Amino acid sequence: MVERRGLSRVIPHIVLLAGLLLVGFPIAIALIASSHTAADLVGHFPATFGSHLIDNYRHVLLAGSTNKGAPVATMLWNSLVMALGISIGKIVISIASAYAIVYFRFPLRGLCFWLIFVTLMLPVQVRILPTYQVVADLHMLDSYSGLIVPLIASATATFLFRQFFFTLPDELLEAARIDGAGPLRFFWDMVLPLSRTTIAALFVVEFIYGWNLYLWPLIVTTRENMSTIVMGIQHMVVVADQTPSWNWIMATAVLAILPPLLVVIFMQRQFVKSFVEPEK
Amino acid sequence: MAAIEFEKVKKAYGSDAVLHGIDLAVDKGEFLIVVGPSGCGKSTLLRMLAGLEEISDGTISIGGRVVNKLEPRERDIAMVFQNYALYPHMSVYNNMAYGLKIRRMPKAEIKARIDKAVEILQLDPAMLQRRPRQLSGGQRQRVAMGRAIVREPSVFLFDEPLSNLDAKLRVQMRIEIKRLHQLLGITTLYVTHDQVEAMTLGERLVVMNGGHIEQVGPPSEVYDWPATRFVAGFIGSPAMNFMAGTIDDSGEYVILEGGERLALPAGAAYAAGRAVDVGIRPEHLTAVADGPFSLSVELVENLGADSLLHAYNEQGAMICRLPGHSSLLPGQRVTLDVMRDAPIHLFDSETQRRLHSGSGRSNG
Repeated sequence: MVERRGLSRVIPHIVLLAGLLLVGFPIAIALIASSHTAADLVGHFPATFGSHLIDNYRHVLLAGSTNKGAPVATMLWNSLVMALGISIGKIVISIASAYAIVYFRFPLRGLCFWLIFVTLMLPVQVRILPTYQVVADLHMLDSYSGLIVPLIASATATFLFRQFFFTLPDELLEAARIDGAGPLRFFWDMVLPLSRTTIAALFVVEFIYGWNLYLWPLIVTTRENMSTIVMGIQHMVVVADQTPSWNWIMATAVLAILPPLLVVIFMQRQFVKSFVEPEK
Repeated sequence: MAAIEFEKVKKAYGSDAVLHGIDLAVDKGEFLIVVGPSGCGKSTLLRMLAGLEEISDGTISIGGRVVNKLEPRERDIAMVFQNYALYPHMSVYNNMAYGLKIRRMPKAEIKARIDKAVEILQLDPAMLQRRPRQLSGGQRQRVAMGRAIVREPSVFLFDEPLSNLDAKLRVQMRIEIKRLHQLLGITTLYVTHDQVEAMTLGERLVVMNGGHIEQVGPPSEVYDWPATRFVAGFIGSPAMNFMAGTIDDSGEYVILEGGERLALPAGAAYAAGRAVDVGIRPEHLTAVADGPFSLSVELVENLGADSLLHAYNEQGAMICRLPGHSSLLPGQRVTLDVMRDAPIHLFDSETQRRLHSGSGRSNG
C-alpha cells in the first residue's frame, strides 16, 4: 500500500464527504418531514425532528395516505413480490438457458444464442404494446404473474452467465463426467455452487431494477390493491383538490427505499466478491 | 487378454483426420507411456479411451468389453488432468468422495477408501478439510491422484500430469507416480511430451507422430533402435545428429555429403547408391586428433558431469557430448569421430524407416 500524506490524503475525504452530503441530504429531509404533522409542513420546513414519527408510519402502513389509495403495507408487499419474482425468475431462466447454450450441442444452437442476444436491443419500453396485448389476451392483467412473467426473460443475465460458464475449465466438466455426474448433477453440484457470487450480484441488480419499475406496473395494473409502492408515491403526490400530505408521502418514500437498501447491505459482500475474486 | 485394446481407431474432426488407424494392445498392470510432439494425437487417443471424445472409427475395448458407446463413468477408468481439475468449491475430502457418492457408496466405505488413499499418497490428514485453492501445485496434483485412486479403477489415465509443476516437484512426483504404480499394479496410460518422463516411467513407450504410431517398445529399445528417423530425432536430448549420405558401390561404406566415409553396420545388405540419412547420437561422438568430421566450435555448454559441444561446418551443425568439462573455445577447430563400437543409425531418405535391424554396431 502506498503511504499517502498531506493534501492527497485530505482530498479524497472531502470528495467522499461531499458525496455523502449530496446523497444524505434528501434522505434527511424525508426523515424529518415524516416526523411532523401535515400542518407543520405548510409554508416552512422544520429543521428538527417532530413528534409524529411513529404515528405517521403507522398511518401510511395500515391506512394509506389518501382516502382512495391502498395501504402502504399492501403496496410494499406487491412491490416485494414483483421484485423478488422478477429477480428470481430472471436468474432461474437465464442460468438454465445459458447452461443449455454453453454445455449442449443441439441444432441451431448458435441461432438460439443470437436470438436471445438480439433481444438485448428490445427493452420493455420498445415492446410495451405487443407485450400488453399478450398479457391481456392471457388474462394476466392486474395479477402478479402479469407484473412478473413478461419481464423475466433476460438477455443480459443469460449473457452474464454464459460468459461466466466459459471461464470454467473444460476439465472440470470432464472430471465430473468421469466421476459419473450427468448433466443435471453437474449443474447442481458444480455450476450452481460456482455461480453463487454471480447469482448474488445479479440478484442485487435485478431486485433493485424490479423494485424501481414504474412504467410496466402502471400499465398492467388498474386495481388499487395491486399497485406497487413506486406507483403509490406518484399517486399520492398528484391528488386533486387537496394539499398533498407531505408527511405521509415522505414516510412512504422512506419505507420504499428500505427493502432495496437491505438487499444491498446484506448482499454487498457477495456482490463485490463476484467481480474481484472468481472462485476458480 | 489385453487390458486395453485399440483396433484401427480413427479420429476425425469433419474432414480433418487426427488419428489414422491406431492399433495397440496394453497388457494388464502395464505402465504404458504415450509420447509425441504436440498435435500428434496422443491426448486425443487418451481422451477417446476415457470417453471424452467420440470414436470416429474402429473399436476400443477395456478388459475385453467394447466401450465405444459407453459413458466415461461406465468405463471403469480414472483420469488425472494436467491442470488437476479439482472441484474448487469442495473440500479435499469431498473432491475425493464425489465420484463415490454418486455411485451411492456407503459413507463408511467412502471414508475407509479415502483414509487408505491418504496413507498411500502420504497426504496430511489435516489437508482434507481445506479447499484446493489453499493447496500448493504438488499437493493439488496429489489430491487429483487421490481422487483417481479411491475409485479403484481398472485403468489409470494421466494426461501430462506434471507439466504444471516446477522442475523439482516434477522429479518428486515422477518418482511418486512410479511408486504408486508398483504398489497398486493398475494398468496405466500416461501421456507426456517430456523426454525424461518417457524414458524413466514406463515399461513400454509408444511414440506417436502426426496421428500415427511410429514405434512401440521398451524405452531402452526405442532409444537404441529407433524404427524411424522421427523417433531417432524425437527421443533423446540433445537430439541425434543427422547427415545425408549415399551407400557406396561396395555396400560397406556410406559417403556423407561432406565426403566423409563411415563404415556401415553389419547385419544387413545395403543397395549401392541408395540415399540414406545417417544418425549419430551426441554421446557416441568423441573429439579426436584425426577424424572424419572437421568442424568449428560454436559454443560449449558445461553441464557438470559432461559438456555439450555445439559445432558446425558447411554441411550443418553437430552436437557432441564430451565427458567432464571441456576447455574448447568458440571458433576453435575440432575434429570428431564416431566412438569405437558405437552404433550409427541408417534411415532410408525416402521412407524414413530404419535400414538395418541387426546389432547395428559399427564394425570400426
